[in-house]
Formats: sequence, C-alpha cells, structure tokens
Amino acid sequence: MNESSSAQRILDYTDRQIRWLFSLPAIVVMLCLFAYPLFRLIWTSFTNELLSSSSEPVFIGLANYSRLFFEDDHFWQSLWITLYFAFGSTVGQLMLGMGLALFLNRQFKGEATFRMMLMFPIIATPVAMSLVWSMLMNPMMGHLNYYLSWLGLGDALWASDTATVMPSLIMVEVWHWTPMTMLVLLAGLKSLPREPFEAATVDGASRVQVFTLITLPLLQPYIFLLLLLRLVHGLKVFDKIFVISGGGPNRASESLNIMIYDQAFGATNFGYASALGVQLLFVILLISIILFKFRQRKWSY
Amino acid sequence: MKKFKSKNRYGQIAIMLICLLFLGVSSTLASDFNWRKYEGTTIRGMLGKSAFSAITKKHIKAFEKLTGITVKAEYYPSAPIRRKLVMELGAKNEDLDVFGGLMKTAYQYDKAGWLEPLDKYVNNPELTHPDYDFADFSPRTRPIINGRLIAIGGSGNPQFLTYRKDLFQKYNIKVPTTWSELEAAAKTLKKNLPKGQFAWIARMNKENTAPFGSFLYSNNGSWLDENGKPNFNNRQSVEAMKFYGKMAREYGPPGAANIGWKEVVGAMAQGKAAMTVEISIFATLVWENPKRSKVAGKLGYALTPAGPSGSSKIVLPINVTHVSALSKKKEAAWFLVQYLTMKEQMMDNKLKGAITLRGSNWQDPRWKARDKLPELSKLQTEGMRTGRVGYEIAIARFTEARPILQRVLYTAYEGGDVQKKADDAVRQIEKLIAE
Repeated sequence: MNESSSAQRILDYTDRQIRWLFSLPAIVVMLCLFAYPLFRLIWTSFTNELLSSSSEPVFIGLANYSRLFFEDDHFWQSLWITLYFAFGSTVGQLMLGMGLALFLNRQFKGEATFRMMLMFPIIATPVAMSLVWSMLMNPMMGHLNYYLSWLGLGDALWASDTATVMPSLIMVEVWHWTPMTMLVLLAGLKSLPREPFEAATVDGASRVQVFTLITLPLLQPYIFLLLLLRLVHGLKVFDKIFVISGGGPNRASESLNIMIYDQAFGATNFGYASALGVQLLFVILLISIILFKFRQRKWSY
Repeated sequence: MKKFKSKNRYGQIAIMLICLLFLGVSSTLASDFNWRKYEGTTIRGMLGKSAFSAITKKHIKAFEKLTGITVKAEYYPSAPIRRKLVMELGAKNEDLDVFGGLMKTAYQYDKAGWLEPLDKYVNNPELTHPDYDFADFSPRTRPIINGRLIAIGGSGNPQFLTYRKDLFQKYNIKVPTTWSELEAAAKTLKKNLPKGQFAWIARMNKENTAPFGSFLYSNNGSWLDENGKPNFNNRQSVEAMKFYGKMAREYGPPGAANIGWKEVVGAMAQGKAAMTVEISIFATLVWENPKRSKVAGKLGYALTPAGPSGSSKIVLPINVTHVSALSKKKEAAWFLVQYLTMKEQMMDNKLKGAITLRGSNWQDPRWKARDKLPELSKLQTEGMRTGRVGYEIAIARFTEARPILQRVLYTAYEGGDVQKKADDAVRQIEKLIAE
C-alpha cells in the first residue's frame, strides 16, 4: 500500500513537473532570442563601446545616460519627433479608418472591389513605396506639386523643409496603414449587436447620437487594440523616415530610431546607441502600460 | 663616309643589344614572378558596387584562373558597405581579406587598426610583379596616412564646375572664374530661365560637405590646421560656407535641404538646373550620355571658381582598395589588390569611362582615340596631378564630425549666424578629437 502510494506520488510529481520539460525548448529560445539581446543592450549602454576603436570597451556607469539627458540637446528633439510621428499617424489612421469602415459597412454595388483596392497600400513593400513617395514629393520634379498647380495651389516643399517634413511623413504613414485600421474597425462594426441600434432608432436618436453614444462605446475594444498596435508601430518606425527624408532636413525628422542607427552604424558608438535604445524601449513600455491601465479603468465592458 | 657608316652600324647594333638585354631581363623578371604562390587559398572581398562592377567581376575571374586563388567577392553600394565593414571589422572578423573604401573613411579605419600598410608589399619583388609600376600612380593620388600607404587607389572623381554651354551662349554669360562671376551668372540665369528651371543646384542634405570642399579650398579655407586642430571657423572657411549656402538658397531649387547627389544628377540630366559643382564621373556616365540625359553635348566644364581669398583648387575623391590588417591571408589579398590595379585592368575600366589614377592610362592611344570629352579629360588629368585627395575633415571620428559640419552648412543655407555655429562646431569637434 505504502509502496504503491509512494510510486503514485512519484508519478504525480513527474506528471506535474514534466510540463517544465516540454516548455524548456520554448524557454531556451526565449532566453536566447529575447532575454540575452535585451540584457546585452542594457549592459552595452553602460560601456564606452566604440566599434571602430582598437581598445576594449570599459564600464563607464551612467555616463552615456548623463550625456543623453544633460548634454545631447538632440535627444529631446528626437524624442519629441518620435512621439509626434506616432501619435499624429495613429490619430490620422483611426479617423480615416473609421470613416472608411462606416462607409463600407453597408451594401452597395462594387463594395468588394472598392475594399480590395483599399488594401493595395498594405501589400506594398515599405521601402519601395517610400521611394515612390519620395519621388512624388520631390519639390523640383515630383508629381504632387504638379497636381497642386492644377488646383491653383502653390508649390509645397513636402519632405524638403523643416516645417513640412513631419506632416509629409505622417501623411505617408496614414496612407500606408489606414486600410488595416479600416479592416479591423469594419470587422468590429459587423460584429456589433443590432438591438441597441434598433432601440435608438425607435427612440428617435440622430445619426450623430447613434455614432457617439452607441457605435463608439461598443467599438472601444477594437479602437483600443488599434491604438496600442499603431502607437507601438509608430514609435518604432524606421524605413519610411530613412528612405524619404533620412532624418533631415537638418535633423528635423530624426526620430529616436534614426538617431540610434546613425550613432551605431555611422559613428560606430554602440555604447551611446544602446543607451538610446534603452530609452526607446522605456518609452514604448511606458505608453503600453498607460494604455493598459486606461483600458482597465474606463473601457471595461 | 664608309667609316662613318660602319661606326654608325656598330652603334645601332650596340643599342639593339642593350634593348634586347633589357627586354630579356625584364621578361625574365616578369616570367620569374610566381602568381601561383598562394594557389589553393580562398580569400573574401567586400567591394563597392558601381557602374564598373561587371569589369571587376571579369577581372576577378581572370585572377582566379591566373593565381589559383579563389575569391569570394561581395558587392555593396557605398553606404551599406561602410556599415557592413564597421560591423565585421569591429567584431575583429579575420575572414575578410580585401575591402573597398573611400579616403574620407580611411582615417577611422586606420585609427582602429584595420588597415594593413602596403608599402612593404609594393616594394617586395617577390610579392609585386615587375610590371606593376607603382610610380605610374600620381603621388597626389596615393592613399597615405602618417607616411604609410594604406590602400591602392583605383579611380578618382575630381570635382568641377559643370555648366550649360548653350544657356551661357544664349544669355551671353562668361564662364565664371571667381565667386562674384559665378553669382552674376546665376543671377542672369535666374532672371531668364522659365519656371521649373534653376540657375544652380548643389547638395545640401547629409552629403553637403563633399562638394563644399571645392569651395572651401578655393577660398584658402581649411577644416584643420597643420597640427590637426579644427580651424574651420576662420574667416576664409566661414566666407566659403556663407557663399555655398547663399547659392543654394537664392539660385537653387526649392527644398534644397534634401538635395543629394541623386537629385543633382537628375536635375542636370533633365535640364532643370544650369550649373553645379560635382564629381565629374556624373558627366561621363550620365550627363553626356544621350540615352540618359537631355543635355548631352550641351555641357561645359571648368575649374571651381576661386573665392575672394583664394584660387581655384581641385578636390579629388578617390576610391581605394584595402587589405585588412586582421586578415590571415594578407599576401594572397595583396595579390588581388595588385592584379585589379595593374595597368591593363585599369585600362579596361578607363575605356568604360572610369577616371583611373594611373598616368599611363591617360596617355594610352586606345583611350586617346576614344576620348569624346577632351575638355573634361584635360581638367581630370590636371585633377590627378594637383587634386586634393583628403578634402573632408581628416579625423578618425569623421562619421561623427560630418553631421556637425553639415549643420553649419545648413545654417548657412538658412541665412543664420554661420560664425557662431562654426565656433560651436569647432568646440564639438575638438571634444571628439580629445575623446
């Protein structure tokens, strides 16, 4: 009896603990691909690692962070550019995406074709698409100014001027990703229950009231998801800025990612670039936490 | 008379014997040279991707056949190759043996200890073919840092003023030799050219320091003094910055701040800009090619006009090939560099339009018969003789210094306080050097 119960206990224990064995490959992969690079990034940020130096990197404590916060004026400008791009493009995508989703949330002839055509920007390769946009926006040879002249409008400098470069980049990002937000919001609209809308119609609610008091609150989970995804994507964007403006003119569009790239591969200053990387990570984390908290408090249905 | 004839004949025979002896010795030396010394070795090269890459590939195939050395060659455009090199060499990769580069980045690579000095290879008859003739490279074009030959230069790219001859004739404009004449020409063109065409175009984006070098040195300015200390806040340099910025602001296309070499090439080829100062390979490959340009045959070339405090100077960017100091197969790597820069190989490039650095290539009858732009060739030859190879700020942390200088030039473009910005920039670069 005792023997069988202890055998049973061993079997039970093995049964309970064997899950670790099965999870081990995934844990090892996670440690190698995520934890180690993250640890390495943080460690490098405390060193003076200069790739083009014959001497070995040494630990310099918080010197890179001190330079970043107190000496490098451009860090704060870069942070502002990153946030401006992320929030500007996310708001643009959500507003346009909502408009398109509402437009497509009804039956009309050619609806499927129209929806398919709207998907084209998502299919486009970001670098190729950015190249096309940079040519279109060229103030000297681009087509956009030519079309503006048709409308009797003056020439715009688009990505070639410090004042207009950010709105131009946001415009491209909005053009690229609005179809995706539209698709998610359309799926959300199609899944909403009919009853609240019917009740509102019976009660004589106007279209604006229906939209603001019923559609929007019911769509909040979808809007939150998009807000999180698009903001994080916006904070990390690199390809469009790199191809269209290269961070210029005069660093007016140099986001944190572009700054990291220039520091790492231009100046070969991996220590400082890592400190910038840690800051970007921190910003993304902070915004994600705020969004989650916000959702928990206000948007629980 | 008979006596004279026989004496003369003896003389002729003697000369012939000496010539035969000389030819015999040199051919013996040439045949003694063992190209197959490193047969069976495999080397890896990272080379620049250019209009001449196909010729390089052909030469590498011939090299493999001649030496028995296998070459794993990768080709990248100039910006990606720099990043890839820094990553590989920074990681102390011994697997990379040969790589292409530019003189401006060589200071950084040299300080890092990545460049093998090549003097000992060039001077070693066992490692260098007797026909190599290193003296054929103009002394001005030899990539030398601190007295050490750190690469072999393949081609150069002297910068000149390129202008629309037809428009100059039409509006009766004299080819400018000074900045005031250049500005007067720009003013006349601006007044007369239709909308959408511009008197002037020059790089003002991240690459603006490259063509600016022509203006800096043509006004007796400098980046560094003779002790290597930054001094570009001196009167002549600031004057040059202000003029460069003013030309772009007042006579260039709108949004000049994002104009790089691609925009300059396109605008000139499409006839949208009438003047520029740029590297002359653009003329050879694009502007004078009727298939790629609307202005082929309509362009003139001249030295960069002189500033009020100086005289016209030629800036000469050069493409070089290095042997990695980290390589374990340096001799085989040198064989490849040597082969690619021998007279015949470089002549192949020359006949396809490259501005090669060997003097003999320019005298070769094959080239003379094919030269369609003798006016430009004359200037380019002068560039090889007197050009300034180190035209960007020659410090190891060049890649960090350049954005600082770019912003000074941008301030000039915006019409801001250039002197103040230059003073600030000098302090920043002093700090970089001290670090």
